[in-house]
Amino acid sequence: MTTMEKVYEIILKLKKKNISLEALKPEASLVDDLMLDSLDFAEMLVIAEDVFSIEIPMEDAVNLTTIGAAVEYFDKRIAAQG
Amino acid sequence: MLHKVDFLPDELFRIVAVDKTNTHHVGTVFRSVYGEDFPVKDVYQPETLWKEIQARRLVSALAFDEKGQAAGYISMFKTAPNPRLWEAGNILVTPEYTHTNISSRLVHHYFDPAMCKMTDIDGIFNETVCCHFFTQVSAAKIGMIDCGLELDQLDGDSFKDGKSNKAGTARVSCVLYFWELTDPLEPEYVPIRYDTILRKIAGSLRPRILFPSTDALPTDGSTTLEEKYYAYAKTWKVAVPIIGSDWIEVVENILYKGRERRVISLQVTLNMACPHIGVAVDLLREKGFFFGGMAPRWFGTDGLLMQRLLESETEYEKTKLYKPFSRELLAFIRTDREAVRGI
Repeated sequence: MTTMEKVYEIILKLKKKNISLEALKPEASLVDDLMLDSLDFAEMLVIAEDVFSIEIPMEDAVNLTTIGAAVEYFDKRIAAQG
Repeated sequence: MLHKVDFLPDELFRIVAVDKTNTHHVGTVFRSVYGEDFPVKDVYQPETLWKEIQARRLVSALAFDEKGQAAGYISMFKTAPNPRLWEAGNILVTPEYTHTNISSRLVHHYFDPAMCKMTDIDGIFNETVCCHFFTQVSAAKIGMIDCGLELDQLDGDSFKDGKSNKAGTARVSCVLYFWELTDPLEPEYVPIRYDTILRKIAGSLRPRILFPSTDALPTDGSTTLEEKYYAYAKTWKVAVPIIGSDWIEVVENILYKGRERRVISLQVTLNMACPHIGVAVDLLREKGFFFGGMAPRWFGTDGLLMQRLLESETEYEKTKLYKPFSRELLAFIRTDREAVRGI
């Protein structure tokens, strides 16, 4: 599974599948389009840290604004720690 | 000082200290989430809030949107026996702004080292709920240390917005996170049975001197107590600065009164400066109390948190814990709770 697919899976889990699949695209905003609130966002960080075996500093977390940005960031962290 | 205006980089929100001119907005934020039902009524009373701020028992900040409407709130207040400790809490965001990162911005506002330059402060603690991850993640990522776990401390139904009790448990446990800002000066004592776990917690804090507690209870002197009873949560917190020769009677009275009040979460925090804390803990365990963690600098010196649950079975599997050490603490506490049931 690619990083993108794993992120889609995380978001589906967070939203309890209450989201249209068409909404899942790289340019989708986590807040404005996918309607993740602060509690969802924190849960996404926790799951992503576990799934990708990375640590996400808070100063980086605030830059994860879209699915694409998150995927790009996770891939960089995985490579850096790998 | 904390009272600094902070314009956020994205300029969507303005975070300002609460002062005499804007205290009325605090109630607006709480009403948007809780109506008139928030249990601490001070938040609806601008004059009371301002008096608390003037007396330096409260520091707080409001977030305003571009139109000048209150969008969020965060505060620090004094609840511990040690007046040099602050509790961070009451982070709240109005419903129309929950889909923003405003709560993270508010947390950063307080815990940014550049902001927090108070000198008369031993530390900041935060009781982070275990029904979602947000406050635990925020606390951990700014470097706070998980030191204890208060089982079933809050009523799950009190999360009125219907969303923030994501775990859906009847009661909500809290992780005690701590940020220590001064060095402890006095030597302290640890019950031998909790030596390993307490030294592990202390190992993440500033250096302190810990001795094994081997003394017997004193033959004279009375126990002193400071209590906080949260009737709405059915939680009673008792701090014990001095453990006297009357300790057994004191514990029996606490239990009797706890049952009379129909308390669910009963917490007793012992001063680790007492050389006879070990025997005091043994007596508590005989009465069904089990380990909770360390409450750093609770009395100036550290506190050892013991707890007992009356009428509650913890939903362990639904307890959301972010840090591995929090999960280790839960496992230890669960084992200790089972052990005292067999005494």
